Amino acid sequence: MTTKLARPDHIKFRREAEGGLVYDHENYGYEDASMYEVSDTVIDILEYVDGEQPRQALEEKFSPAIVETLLQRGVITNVE
Amino acid sequence: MSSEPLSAPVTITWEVTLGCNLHCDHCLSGSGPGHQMPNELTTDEAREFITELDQMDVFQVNIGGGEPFIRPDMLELLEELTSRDISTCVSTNGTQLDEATLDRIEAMDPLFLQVSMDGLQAENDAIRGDGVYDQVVDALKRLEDRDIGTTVNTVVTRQNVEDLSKIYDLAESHGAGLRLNRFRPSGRGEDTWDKFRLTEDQIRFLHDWIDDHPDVRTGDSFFYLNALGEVRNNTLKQCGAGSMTCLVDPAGDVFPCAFTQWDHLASGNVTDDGFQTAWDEIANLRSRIDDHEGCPAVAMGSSDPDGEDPQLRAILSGD
Repeated sequence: MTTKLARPDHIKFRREAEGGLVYDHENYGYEDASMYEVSDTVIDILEYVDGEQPRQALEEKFSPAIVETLLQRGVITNVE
Repeated sequence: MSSEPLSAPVTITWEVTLGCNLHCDHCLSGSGPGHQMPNELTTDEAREFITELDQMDVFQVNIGGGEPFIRPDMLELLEELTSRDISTCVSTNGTQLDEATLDRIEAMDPLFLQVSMDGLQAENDAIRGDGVYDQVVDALKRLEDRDIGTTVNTVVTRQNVEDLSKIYDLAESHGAGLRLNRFRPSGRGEDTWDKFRLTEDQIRFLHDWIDDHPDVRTGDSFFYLNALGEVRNNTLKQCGAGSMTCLVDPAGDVFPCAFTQWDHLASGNVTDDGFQTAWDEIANLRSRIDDHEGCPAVAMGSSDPDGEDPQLRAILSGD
């Protein structure tokens, strides 16, 4: 079975002049959010996911290591 | 952070009106009954502003006032924000949350409420008005019944600081978190600064208390010190005013933050200039505020002779 990955609803992102930002409203509380500066590659991945993508496609286009890192940080997630 | 200014703020505070049914002694914006500005954004102007926020990818909008729900179109504007998937936080005094309003709020996502409570009954009502405490507790019960995520917000003052544990317990008993805000000399807070600001001993007590309650939210550089004045992390000097966030007032004028609404720090108007233009201009204002360690708003608003945040200095150097 093909594993698909997606961006959770509470993760938002945008590209900046240098890299980009990831905003994580993880706790869903009043102003209770985290924000990270990220590389262009992370933004490239989030743009590529655009809904959901097979994990294998992401790993081939970028790298298994970075896909795993983003999964562990909750920036992308497995689709049930 | 990158040396390049951000293309847009991460989050903004939008004071949607200066009208309020209450007249709190420490109100940061000097709001009150009939205090609406004659040129507050119309519904159409507010909708256009929201469209631009969405286009700029602003992640989060914090709605304040005044009392936001005094605006007849407030629910309509909140629906506009949340329908665009902009994380929306509303700070309310909790007295305007009737069942019809809650019906519509309950259907919105992502939306989060913050209800103000500045002490237990006596201290809260002394600042916010007779009977307000009971109304807020009633609102907390009804919000809990509907499972609407809510945070209690307390501006820490000389009068309520020793009751923080009881306020924490009260919030927790209604499934709400507690968030502390620093009292600052802005709005009517300029006039009541000496009445409400913490003593040095109270500042030390507060920092110990926060150490013991890691789940209490603060969002303020002032709280990143412990009771001995030691810096807990490297964010002490990272005031986000004008670099990560900004304030939009009811008329659409843009300032670095809610506590620096002074004419010489205004950077444009969301209707006349457009929000993007106002935001791009705001980087020029940072040079006027970022010399101040701690909270620049306190440093500038308290007229400290050394141009510093005097409460921060008190715990750093014992002055």
